Amino acid sequence: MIEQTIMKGTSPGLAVKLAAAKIDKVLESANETGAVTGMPQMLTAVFAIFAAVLFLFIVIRGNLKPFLYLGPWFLIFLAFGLYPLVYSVIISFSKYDILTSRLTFIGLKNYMAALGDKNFHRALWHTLIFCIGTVPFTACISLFCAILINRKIPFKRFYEAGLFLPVTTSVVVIATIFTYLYSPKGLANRALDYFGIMHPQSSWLNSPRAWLDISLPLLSIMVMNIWASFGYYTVLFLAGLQTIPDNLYEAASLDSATEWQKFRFITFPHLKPIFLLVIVMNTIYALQVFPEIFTMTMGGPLGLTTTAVYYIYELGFHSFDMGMASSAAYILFTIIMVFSLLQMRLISSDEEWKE
Amino acid sequence: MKRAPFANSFVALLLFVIVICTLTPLFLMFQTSLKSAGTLTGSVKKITLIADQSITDKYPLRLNLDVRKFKNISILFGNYSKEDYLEITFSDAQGRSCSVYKRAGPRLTIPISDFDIKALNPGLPERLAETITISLKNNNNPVFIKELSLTIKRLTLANYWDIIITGYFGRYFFNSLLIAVAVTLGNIFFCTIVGYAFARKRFAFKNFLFLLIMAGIMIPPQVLIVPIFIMMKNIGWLNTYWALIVPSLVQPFGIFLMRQYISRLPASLEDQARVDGATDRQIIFKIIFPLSRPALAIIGINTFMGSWNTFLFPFILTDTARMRTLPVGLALFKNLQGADWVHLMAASSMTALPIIIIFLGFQKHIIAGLTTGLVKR
Repeated sequence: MIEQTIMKGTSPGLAVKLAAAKIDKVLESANETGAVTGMPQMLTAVFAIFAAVLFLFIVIRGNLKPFLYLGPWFLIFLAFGLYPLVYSVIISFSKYDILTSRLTFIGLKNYMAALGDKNFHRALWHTLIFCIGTVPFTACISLFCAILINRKIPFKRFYEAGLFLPVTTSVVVIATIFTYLYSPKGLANRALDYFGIMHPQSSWLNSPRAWLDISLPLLSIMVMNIWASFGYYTVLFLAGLQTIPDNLYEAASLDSATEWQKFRFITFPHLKPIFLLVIVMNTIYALQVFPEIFTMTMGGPLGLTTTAVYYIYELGFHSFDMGMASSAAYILFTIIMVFSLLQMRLISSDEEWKE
Repeated sequence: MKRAPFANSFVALLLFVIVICTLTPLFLMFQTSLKSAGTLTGSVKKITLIADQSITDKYPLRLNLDVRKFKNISILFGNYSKEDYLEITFSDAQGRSCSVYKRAGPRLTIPISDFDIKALNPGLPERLAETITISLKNNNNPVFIKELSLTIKRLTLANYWDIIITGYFGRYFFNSLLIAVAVTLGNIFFCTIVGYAFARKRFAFKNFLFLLIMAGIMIPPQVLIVPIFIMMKNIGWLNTYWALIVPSLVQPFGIFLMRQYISRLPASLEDQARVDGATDRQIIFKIIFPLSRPALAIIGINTFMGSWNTFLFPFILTDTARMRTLPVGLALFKNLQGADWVHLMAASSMTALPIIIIFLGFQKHIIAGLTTGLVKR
């Protein structure tokens, strides 16, 4: 390029263009050789063969009927669970052209690109902050509320319903309401005005000031998330609390134990499995946070609220880089998988599933 | 166990405060959705339009307002004589008009209902927020007005009509309902069959297949959005009901619950029926179905709720207004609409209200579904 500029006297801009064209050509030819067209067809064929072999096996074994019952589930699982899962592995290793639906195998490049992308690091960091900032608080608040409701007070059902109502409401609705509360003349600002506390003049979801990439919009969404989900875990804790036999408390009362001691030595040890389960479930949920972000900020101000899933969405459906989106999704998947396996361990250790 | 009554009433008070905190945003949503105009904490009661100006039929006042949202119009006159009669006319952009005759006084307050609003826009409840002109006609003298103001209705359903008629929300509601009902029925039907097979039948790979269902729960939907989008694009299911119904027709949660429930039912009834020569199909529909009604109620309600509230896949798989569901429609409406809070809250209420009603009716079932299932949301 430089040679060209010096030797042939072409302008630098033109030289760059020529060089770029050359590189493109080389890359294209490389792609041609490495192109795996018809990958989805191959995958479909593999799946069809798998199904056929299974079917033959069943026919040979002669016990057809139970499989007939499983049929609907199995077909749907195969088509919309397993197949996309395998397909997305393939996409994550290739370049997908959205217009021609052509897959080109490019090896680990997508993963390298995703792991090297500063925005992905930021998204993961935001997700981590989201988890750290919501999970412990949600768990503690819901445990607290469950213990309160579990006491012998009237209108238990009312309190339970009141706490649970936000959980039944769609996340999008909650996000819309909270955008309203956080708006310049919303409830949040009016409340702060009332107490004479400083507050942002614009919407809380717009302020771009950040410390370590942690910003007010992200914190606002976290607060909303805690508000929206703690009722769910309260109900779980309540179910756990009701399994603790009353006579334990009675014995403790006889020994004149304080409330704190009762909690520390009776309630908490009994609730430990559920507490762990709640933390794991909530972490999985927080790792997947998306509708809130889309509705409230769209990754908003300067990418300060872009979480991992929103990053994947943007990559796949705004930049149409399906390959890189899939690889990023797989990186997130491995993180979620750790927690999912933990959750399964916890659930199966529950007596509910022992049969 | 005895506890001090003081402690309990303190607990009740504390809980009451917490419940108020959780319910306030939802309450504000409903309240705002019924307001004609205003902000979160205060509604505007009156809009003063002009001061010290004369309007006649030659020089009318052009306004951009939605007449349905106003209670009455009040006029403070500068000059009038007792014998004067005034004709106050509303007319819209199409030239349709309605008017009221009044004897002049120092202050005239005319309820909007005195006007024949329907004459303005025959196709009510279409939106009336077009340009409306107010003109006054006196029989001899020119009229001088000190003040003209409109009092706003405190509560109105007009916002709902607006989003249903002009904002596509009627269609969204229909889509959501159709999808939720189809998915619920599918789950009730298929989960019973699959659960029955797992509970009562012996077959090869039974444990492996059950583990596969577990695995199905563990796949986070985010991994699947890209491949499912591509798949649906290839088979031409984008923007169809199929794409939104078929993948969630049998959900692992229901299979778990049904397997558990059916395996706890006494087998003697089935055995008897089998001795009498009943087929499997008859056993499922005549015995298992009626007996497992409680479990089916839990599945039905929870599936309906989940399907109604789900966002990610309808969002990815639809891009036309005709196929959107309520949450998707609401999210896009919100991002488009900016700060039109009354309409946004009306749309939110429309999305939330059916589920809230269902929840209040079936609280026990919904909570039972969560705690016996212990399956993630």
